[in-house]
Amino acid sequence: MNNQKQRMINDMKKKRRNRQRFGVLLILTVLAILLMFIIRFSYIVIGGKVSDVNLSSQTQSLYENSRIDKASRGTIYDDSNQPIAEDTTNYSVYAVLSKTYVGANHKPLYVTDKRKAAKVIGDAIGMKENKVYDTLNAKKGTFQVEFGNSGKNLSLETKNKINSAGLSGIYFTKTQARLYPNGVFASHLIGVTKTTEKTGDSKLSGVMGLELAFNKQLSGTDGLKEVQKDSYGYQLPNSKTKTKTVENGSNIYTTIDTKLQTYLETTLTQVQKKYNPKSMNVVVMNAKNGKILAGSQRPTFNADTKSGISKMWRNTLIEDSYEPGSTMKVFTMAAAIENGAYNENATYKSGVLKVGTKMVPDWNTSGWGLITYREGFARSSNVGMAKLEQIMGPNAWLEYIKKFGFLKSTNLGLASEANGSIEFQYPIEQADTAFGQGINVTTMQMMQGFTAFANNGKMIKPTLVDKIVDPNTGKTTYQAKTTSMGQVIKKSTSQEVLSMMQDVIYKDYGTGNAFKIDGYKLAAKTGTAQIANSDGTGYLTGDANYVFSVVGMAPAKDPKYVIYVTMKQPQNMQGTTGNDILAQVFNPLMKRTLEEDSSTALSSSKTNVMVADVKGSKTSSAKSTLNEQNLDVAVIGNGRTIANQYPASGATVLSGRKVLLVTDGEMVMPDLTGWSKSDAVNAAEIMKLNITTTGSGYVSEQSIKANTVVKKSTTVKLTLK
Amino acid sequence: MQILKRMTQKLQYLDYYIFIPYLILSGIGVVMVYSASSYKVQMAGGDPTTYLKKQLLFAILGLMVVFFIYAIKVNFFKSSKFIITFGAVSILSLVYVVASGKTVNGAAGWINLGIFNVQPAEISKIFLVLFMAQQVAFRENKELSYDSRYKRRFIYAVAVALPLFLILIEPDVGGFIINASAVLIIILASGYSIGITTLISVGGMGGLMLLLSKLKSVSPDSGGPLAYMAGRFVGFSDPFKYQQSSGQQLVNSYYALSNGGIFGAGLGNSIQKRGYLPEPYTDFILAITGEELGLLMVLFILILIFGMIGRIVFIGSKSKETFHTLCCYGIATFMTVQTVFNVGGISGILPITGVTFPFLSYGGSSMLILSFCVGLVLSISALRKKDLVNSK
Repeated sequence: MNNQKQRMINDMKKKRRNRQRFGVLLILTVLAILLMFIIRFSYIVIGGKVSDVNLSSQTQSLYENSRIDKASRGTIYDDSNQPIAEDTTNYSVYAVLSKTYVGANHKPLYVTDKRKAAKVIGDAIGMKENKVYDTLNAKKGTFQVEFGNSGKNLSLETKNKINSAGLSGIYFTKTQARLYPNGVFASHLIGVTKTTEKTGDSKLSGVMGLELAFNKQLSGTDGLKEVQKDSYGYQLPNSKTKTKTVENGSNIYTTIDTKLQTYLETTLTQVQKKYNPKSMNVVVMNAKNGKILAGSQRPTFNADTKSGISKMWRNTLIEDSYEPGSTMKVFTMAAAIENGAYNENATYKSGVLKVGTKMVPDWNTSGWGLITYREGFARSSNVGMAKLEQIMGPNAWLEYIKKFGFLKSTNLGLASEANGSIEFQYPIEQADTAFGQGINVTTMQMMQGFTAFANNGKMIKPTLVDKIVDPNTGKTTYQAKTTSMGQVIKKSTSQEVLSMMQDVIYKDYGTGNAFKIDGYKLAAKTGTAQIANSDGTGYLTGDANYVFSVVGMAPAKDPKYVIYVTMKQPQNMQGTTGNDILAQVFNPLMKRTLEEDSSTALSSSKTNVMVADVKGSKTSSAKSTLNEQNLDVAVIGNGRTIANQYPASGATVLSGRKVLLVTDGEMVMPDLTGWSKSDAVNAAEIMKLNITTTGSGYVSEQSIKANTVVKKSTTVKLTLK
Repeated sequence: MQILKRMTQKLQYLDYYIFIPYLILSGIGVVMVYSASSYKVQMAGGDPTTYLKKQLLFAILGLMVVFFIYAIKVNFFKSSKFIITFGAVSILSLVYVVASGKTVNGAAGWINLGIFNVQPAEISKIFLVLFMAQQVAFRENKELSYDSRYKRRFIYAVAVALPLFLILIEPDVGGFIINASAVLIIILASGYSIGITTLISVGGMGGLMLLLSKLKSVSPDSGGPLAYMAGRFVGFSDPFKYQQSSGQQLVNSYYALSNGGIFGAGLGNSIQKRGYLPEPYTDFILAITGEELGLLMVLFILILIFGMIGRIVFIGSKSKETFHTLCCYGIATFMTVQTVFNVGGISGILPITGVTFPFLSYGGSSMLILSFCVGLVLSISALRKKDLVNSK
């Protein structure tokens, strides 16, 4: 028994010893684990790398939310600083449905009142209320919903309308968009942009016209703003930020005159509708400096809605070359005079001319007997011109063709401008070019050539872009200058051709009698060009299968304005002639152009106008209302609606009179430079300012700078000169 | 009154090597729980001090538990009455959570008691340690008849296996391993020679490796508890590849440690707690601590906790009472395993198992259970110290 007890005690002692040893083992294990952790943590923290991933650079990119500060695309302006194409922000609406989307204090950030939301959104975006409601009741688990195309490209106005209803859970995303407020307006010249999506970022880039050609300048460079954020996207307090300032795109100031352009588009649309020609091209140019005041084509498209854009992508003013026909004779005659081939007393037998085995016919193949070349020009005789070409010789003629800038691009600055081409191998081909067949030209080349007659023989390069201004610095980075393409012909030659071009209109036998405009003296040349068969087997036949054209210059003695109209294949002549259709575009356009310019306008053309009531209407619509009345509008203030006008509505004034409009909001000093004293005094009165003037004539200096905010009874000193 | 008197007497034997680390860790825990939780709570629209208040309360309650347990004689915890009651509560609560099947983060196992959630797997830790220690000590002192030995062994086996089984099918792999390892260590420490224990340890490690390699072949998308575990494992083995899914927590834990560097970004300045790390104030509190207070603080905390564990083992090994020794070993074991699982998870040594860091992580039941253990160990230590003083 004792033995057993002893054994038990020994056993227990042994077990205790084992346990103690086990304890040592445990402590060693714990120490080993501790050591392992110390090494592991030090490795992670000090080494900064785990499985070859650099932790600190990973966290940098995780926290740093680089926010792109989008550069706004430059605005394209007309010649009076009215925007033709400008940036705008569109909105897309979406609704959050998930009930997990709550803010502080469990405020719901999802849609709570679906009925009301359906009504408000449906009304605002023009979608059926029930359809919106169905969308809002999407299947369970949907986080957010959108409303198809109707819910996209919403204006700020629509967004505000929805917001004002105070709905919960309705949100908007912004997209950069391009606004073309004028719709159909030199659409191919100005061009359009498209939105390119790149990793969630949308960018506008030009795909046509100026938008394409000056895409780089218009685009600018996006800025970058880097901020540290938490995983919810909120910026962390006291976090560093890195920035690169945004460089907004440059603004392009074109030479386009909005009034003329609008008038041109309206007129063209009417004519297009009535006679349905396959195409029309019109350019209005100030020939003194080459500025294109208006230019358009048919078919065209609406830049705002993009309707019609798929039918015609080409800018036919510069990209299409065609056989100009008889308008070419202007150049033939000039070359012949210059060359000495022209003799004012010489006569020739009109009707038909045999060139080799081929014939050159006049449009009236029986001819007008023996006539002078001058009369032949006015009658648009092909035979006369072919003979002049033969006298000059093909080499001399070709030299003039080149001198007048044909066969090479005018470098207007737009993409894909055509060079034109010529068939000049055989005598018959050479003779044909003298009356504009067998030579392909662009509308812009013709315009450039015509300038030589308006500038005493000096040819001027056409311009569409007047200047480019960098809005970041305010500096003008490009300024167009009147570019001479050389003295192409002598002054006397240009004078003589102009005089012959008057015969076209004013002689009984002239082909351009349809282009008379009361009160103005014009010089013109018509053209009726044959159209080559597409299979190369000669020319199309039939009354309508021509390119009808007219070039007109005014005033005839010393032309300032050139208008060139071409029309291809009117499908519905309605029993009238090509010239009569052209006159429906040319005459009102030329008249309007001349009337707009005080140096060419007839004083008698001013009419009495009863000033419309624009009080309370929107600033922009008030302006256009009064512009339509041919009144000169000056807006004072930056408000959206008109608070006051002078003269008051109903007053009878002469057209061209200055009308002062005062907007709501702060009173802003207008730029009075160039104003008459009486206009300035009227402005001061309506603004309730005191005014003192020195000198006489027109305002040249003002003591308060334009665009500064002024208070009532402030005194403005004006210096007149 | 008697308890109070005994406690004041006993206080002179208080083991500061355990008590001081306990206070420091709990203190750091309160501060870090506040720092790690306030931003998230605020973002959700709540009071940013919610978790601060609760954790402070838990810490104070914990301290009270320590002194309460300290005041009770150690032998009370050895009594069959106490252990059976404790065991019944432990098993019933486990049955309850398994039956109700509520799942938090892919694992069941919580009973909501209003102010805090109780994890029955935590309670069972104490039960298993006390029960095992008691059984081993009992067998050593008594010569039993053959019959009763087997009868006891059967009951013994069921009482140990049942809670372990219940924890496993919850499923709570972390909890299971923690509980099982405590049981295993107590068996190993019951008196076998070092050779045998080493053999068994190596065998156990091999089995564990086998389990892990098997998990590797399970698709995380296949569903079920095994897939949940497999997902954790895949995320652990190649976290950057799966950083959008199962590797997300580990990757963000690395980021936190990397951000903090050696000296930390400063208290309150963690970025990772702002939505990047999903459980900043529970499982990943040490990563946030590393980010805000730096590598040195993390190492300091690790030294404190492992030092404390080492001290507990030391007390156990010096104790003459088998029950005391085994209690200390058991407690040290589950504290070690819990720490290793948590720290191993955030440092990429082990898969993330959802185990909290002792004393630091937010949580009421964990804090109270740990305080119970600290109180018990302090009590055992006090007995030894008293013996030392008396024997001088």
